[in-house]
Amino acid sequence: MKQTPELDRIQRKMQPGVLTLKGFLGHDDRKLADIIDADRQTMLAMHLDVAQIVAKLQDLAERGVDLMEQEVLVDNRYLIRVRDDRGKIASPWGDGLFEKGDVDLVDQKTGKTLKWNRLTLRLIQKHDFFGGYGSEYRIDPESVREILDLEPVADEPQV
Amino acid sequence: MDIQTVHPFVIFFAAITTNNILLTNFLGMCSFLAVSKDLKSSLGLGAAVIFVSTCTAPINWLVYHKLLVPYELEYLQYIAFIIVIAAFTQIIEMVIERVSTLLYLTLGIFLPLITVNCAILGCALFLVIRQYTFMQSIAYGMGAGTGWALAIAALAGIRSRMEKKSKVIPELEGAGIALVITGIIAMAFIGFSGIVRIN
Amino acid sequence: MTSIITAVLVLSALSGILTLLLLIAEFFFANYGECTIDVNKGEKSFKVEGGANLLMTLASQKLFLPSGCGGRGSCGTCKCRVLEGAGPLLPTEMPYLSDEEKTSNVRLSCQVKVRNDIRIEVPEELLSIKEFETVIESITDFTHDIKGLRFKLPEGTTIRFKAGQFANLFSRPYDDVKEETSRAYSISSAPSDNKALELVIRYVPNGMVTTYVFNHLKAGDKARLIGPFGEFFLRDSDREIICIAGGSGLAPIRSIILDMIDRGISNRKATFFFGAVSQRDLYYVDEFKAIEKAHPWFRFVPALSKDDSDHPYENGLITDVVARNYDSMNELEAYLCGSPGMIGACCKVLISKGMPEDRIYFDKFS
Repeated sequence: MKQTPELDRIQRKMQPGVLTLKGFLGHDDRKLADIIDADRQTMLAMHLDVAQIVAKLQDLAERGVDLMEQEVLVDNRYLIRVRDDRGKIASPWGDGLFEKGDVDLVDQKTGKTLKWNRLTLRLIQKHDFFGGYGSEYRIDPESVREILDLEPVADEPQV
Repeated sequence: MDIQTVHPFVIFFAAITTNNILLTNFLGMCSFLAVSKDLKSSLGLGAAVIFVSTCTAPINWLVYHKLLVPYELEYLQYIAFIIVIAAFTQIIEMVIERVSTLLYLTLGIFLPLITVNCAILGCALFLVIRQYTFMQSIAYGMGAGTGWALAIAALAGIRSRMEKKSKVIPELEGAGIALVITGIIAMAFIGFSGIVRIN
Repeated sequence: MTSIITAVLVLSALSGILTLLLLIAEFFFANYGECTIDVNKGEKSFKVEGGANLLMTLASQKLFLPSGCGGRGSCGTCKCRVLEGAGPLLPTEMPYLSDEEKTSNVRLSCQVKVRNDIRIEVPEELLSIKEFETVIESITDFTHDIKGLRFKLPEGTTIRFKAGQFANLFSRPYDDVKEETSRAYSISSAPSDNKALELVIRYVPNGMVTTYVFNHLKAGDKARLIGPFGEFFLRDSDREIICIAGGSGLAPIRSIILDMIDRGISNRKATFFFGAVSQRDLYYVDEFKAIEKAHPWFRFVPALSKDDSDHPYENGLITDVVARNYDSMNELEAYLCGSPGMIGACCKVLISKGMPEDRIYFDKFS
């Protein structure tokens, strides 16, 4: 993928203090196109599909919602806490406003953590953007596979 | 018969019938086909074309004969005519907006589109080729516009009626059948030929 | 060589003349001069440059009519009554106006061009939306992540709002945040307390305005507010009401209850369920307890979802507590404020208890 002027514009909106306080990129200083490409490659190499990840995370969030922000143990493995925040947050791609409400997950098996919200899922699903290195909202494909025990998509033949 | 002795009134009617700019010269076809789906908007566009061609014909006559010819710049006529037409569409837009918001909104995008309507430019070029006098060019501009309006109104009337009454084979629906109808109307207009010659 | 120069000169001259002609035409035809817009029979009056549409002209005077499509005439929300000076009704407006509206001079303001003096009528609420340069009178820590802020309006100005509405608070540029940013917060003070405004703000991790409020604002600082906005307020009826809130959602409910006291509404029973995790998340308890004592129509029910200590409050999730307290809700009216998730869960419970959906009010907080 090429870093188009459009992506430049989007990347500017991902900087800290534009849409959110800490931004979407962490300490990552690669071009947005390269960030997306790298994660796409990882996903391909692992034969994973974004839809799998998004569906699983959505399901986990569902099970933690409406509990007055209490921590809940799901599947006897994941500690989940969903924040009740009011208000909405805009997508850097300009394709909508998404309800706030971060989900925090601690995987008791691996000790790894994940953090996401409706906007992060949208960015993964629609734009293959998993977050920059060092961003607390990064859903790293490799660690998410480990945390969620994802199986490769079956119908994709091994090359 | 010398063209310059023909009465402007005759030119006006000839421009509507025997020399209809749309049905004999097939100029201004794009907006003719696009806007002829219903009578109301086609009448609006027709009115706008009458306006613009009536105003620009004499001005283009002046520009050509009083400005381009003395300086031997006839080859610039295309550019000059287009500039004049563009400017006048702008002015007419402003006037209509001021005078009647209702008409302004009905005409909508058609007004600025007239700038690139080949019928208007064709009208300016014909009055040069045919060596009309100033008065004749006014009559011709008005006639050409009226002829164009008449043709689009006729087509729109037929099309809106056909929409309700006729079955058109799917392959010919839309522009296809519109072109066929245009052809038939044009043939009917051949009936006028021979009454008078203005070119 | 000379022929080229003449060509350029002649064309330039022609263009020049036409431009001049256009400018003259613009001066005569597109210049509408200064027009006066009279709002609500002399309540307000603007002197404006004519030529633009009414919606934009009013916006330039900081009178904001609601608009969904931004003035393209495709949503029909920017209606207002034009008593005089609008010109004929346009075909572009027809689809959005009922016969009754057509006869009573209602127009789409984005389609009406200001070309002469105009007299219009807009809903009272829109006139009260204003911008306020306030000074922070006090900041109170309510819980570990909720603060109450009291803003003093400039000397001589007052705000008129309906209890339950919200206002937008602006943060000034700080740290990485290079631009002014605004977020909506519900007003928690009573409408009678009109020389000041109180907001309840809960810290949102990574939130730009809440971080500013929590880390940078202090008493005595200046702050900019715009408001009031919103369709969340007490409806006129005789029904018993039930209010449910969590977290900072307490704010508009407090305003509504205080307003009921001020207006002497005592014929309606009101119960306020406030959901929290543990005692440390409760605030304004003493105030609501005092109200409960003084006004027999009011009942305050805090519910703690996870507090094993000894406490006098109800135990359990707010939705369960509400369900426990009522058999049937056919005759009640509900006011909800909280996160979208909480509102959704409460709606389910209320509807299952027989409450008609159109009597559940909550803040969409757009």
